[in-house]
Amino acid sequence: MLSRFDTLLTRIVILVVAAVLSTFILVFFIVQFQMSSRDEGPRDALHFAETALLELQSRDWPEGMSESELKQLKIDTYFIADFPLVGPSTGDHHDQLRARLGLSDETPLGVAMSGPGFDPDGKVRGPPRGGRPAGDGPQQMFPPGAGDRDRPLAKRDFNPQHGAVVSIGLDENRWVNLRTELVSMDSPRPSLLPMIVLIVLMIGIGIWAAVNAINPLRQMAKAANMLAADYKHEPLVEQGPSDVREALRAFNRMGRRLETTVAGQRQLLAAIGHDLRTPITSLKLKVEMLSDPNERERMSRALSELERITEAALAAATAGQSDEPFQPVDMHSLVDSLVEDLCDLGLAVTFEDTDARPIVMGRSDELTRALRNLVENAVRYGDTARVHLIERQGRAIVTIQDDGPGIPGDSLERVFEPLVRLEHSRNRETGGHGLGLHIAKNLIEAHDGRIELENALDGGLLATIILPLKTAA
Amino acid sequence: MPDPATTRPEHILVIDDDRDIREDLKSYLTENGFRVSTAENAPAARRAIHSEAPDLILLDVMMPGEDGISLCRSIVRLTAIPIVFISARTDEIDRIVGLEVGADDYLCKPFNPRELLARVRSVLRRSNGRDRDMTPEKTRYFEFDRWTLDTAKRTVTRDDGVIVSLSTGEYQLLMIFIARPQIVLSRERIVELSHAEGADVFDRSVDSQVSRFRRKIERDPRNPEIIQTVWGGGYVFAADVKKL
Repeated sequence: MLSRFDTLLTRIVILVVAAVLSTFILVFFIVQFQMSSRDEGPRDALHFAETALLELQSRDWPEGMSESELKQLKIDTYFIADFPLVGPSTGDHHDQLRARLGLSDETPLGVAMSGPGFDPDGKVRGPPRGGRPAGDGPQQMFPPGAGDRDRPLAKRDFNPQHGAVVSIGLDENRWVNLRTELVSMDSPRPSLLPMIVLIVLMIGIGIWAAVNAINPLRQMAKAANMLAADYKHEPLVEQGPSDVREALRAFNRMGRRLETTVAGQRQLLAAIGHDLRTPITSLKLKVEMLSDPNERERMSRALSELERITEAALAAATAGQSDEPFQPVDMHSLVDSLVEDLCDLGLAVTFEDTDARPIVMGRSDELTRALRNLVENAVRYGDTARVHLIERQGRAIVTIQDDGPGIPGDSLERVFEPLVRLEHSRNRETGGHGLGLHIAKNLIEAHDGRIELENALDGGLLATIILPLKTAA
Repeated sequence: MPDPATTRPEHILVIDDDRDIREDLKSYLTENGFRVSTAENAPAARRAIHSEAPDLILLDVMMPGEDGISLCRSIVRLTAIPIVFISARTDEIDRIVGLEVGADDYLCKPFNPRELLARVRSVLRRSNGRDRDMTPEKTRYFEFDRWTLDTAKRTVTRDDGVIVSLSTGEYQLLMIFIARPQIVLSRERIVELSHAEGADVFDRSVDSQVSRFRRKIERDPRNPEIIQTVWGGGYVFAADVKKL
């Protein structure tokens, strides 16, 4: 069950997907790490503070602001009081703010950043360590929960938020205090959807790549099967990566070679068969003129054997190679006529007549030859042959049963190979030439049919020819 | 056994490029009462025919130079000499072409010498017109009732295009009948004709052969329309035969 999935394809898919996924995860963490060490957040928070302060300055520091206005300015808290939220301090941010707001160097200015990695004085530092004593400096004034120091370190690091707190002393008892909303330091946590889309896309690409890589192999398997079936080679398209192309090219070379070799052998066999016909004719005429009847009889028998083998070799060489068009053939009359002719030749053949009148598409002479070979085989090894014809499930089925010893189960397929004879003595009295079944198989397969051999339950060999019926036009 | 009806031996010209076949045929036919001359190619054959026209020509299909088919065509155009093809090829197409170019019969190598003799005698008898109801038959297709007979392929096709197979005996029976439509043939005459056609196998009684044949060909075998039984006489092929 499992082995069905253990294909090269699944292996490549797994490999590609695993490689892509691990790269993806690695890249994800690297990007996370880099993003967390960027300091865009404070600048963003300061930027909000700066914008808000400019706005407030232009309105000459109003006593209060409406909620919606504050929200628009991304301000969390704004009030004027006689104390500063953050004590005056100095730093890069301060100079920048002073310049933008046009404040003199004497104006007291406190800037603090809240959030992890920041000291109250706004200096960027390394990651904060836990356990920092609370309560010293302006920090204690932060409303609880405004910072995220109390959250576990890992979580904070993953999604740090920062705000800016600014206090400007207008005079000794008037301080503008402003705290911006908390701003995420970097883009929000990568959402799951694009990740899934990406993963699916990558798996898809992986499968596509793997299928593409495997395709030539599958094509080759198909072509090899065809080659094995009837030595017909359909050239594969030589495409793909260079090593695959080389493999395809090699396969094509092998296929062509095999095809021409087999075709050449067939032609050779046919040519020899043809050329033997003339001397056999000549010998027959000579034998016919012999005066000694005994001698004549003996030589005539030997000649008949020679002729039979020659004709069988010729038939094997040309079986299924005809290009005569198929015609509808009435199987009942075909079987009936053949059995009749074989009976006239003295063979013990019976045709158990039925009402079935199946019509198949084919060449009647080839179908007759195939059937004849099977019947002769049955009579040779099993003394008698009983022929049946039935029509079932769109097929014409001819069975030939004999009373012989049958065939050992492991040899049932082998007997279709040319020149295979199962009896150990190559005794001509009983032995055929070993081509009959091979020819029959070729001919029937040329008709999209098949031959099956099995040992019948009540003894003897059962040969079955199965042919597709002519489809109603 | 020389043909008793001839006063002088009949002359056969054997044309074959194979010397053995020529010599063997010459000996065999001479032994069986014929006068035989030979030619190894088309030009030699033309010279031989020119110097003395034979009664029958045995012609090999495959010859170097001009082949048998072409030679046959030209002989048929100029003379009425019957021609029997002998060929090492069994392809149906060869037989068809051979009969179409006007040969009287066609034999495949390796043939049975006795069959050759029977065919040669049969063709000679027909061409001499000694068998008056055995007219030389060169038609390839015959039509009768709803059937078409192809004598080159030896098949019978029904009007729906289905090929119906005939046994050798049934085919011979049909050939006897189709050449003699509307003529009453006695059982004895049918047996006689079948032997004259060179048929080895015709042991089965004529009645059972006819009945088998009817089962394949007749619409209703119990009420036959094509081959009818003539009371006290034999059988008659009642269907109209059309030559195509």
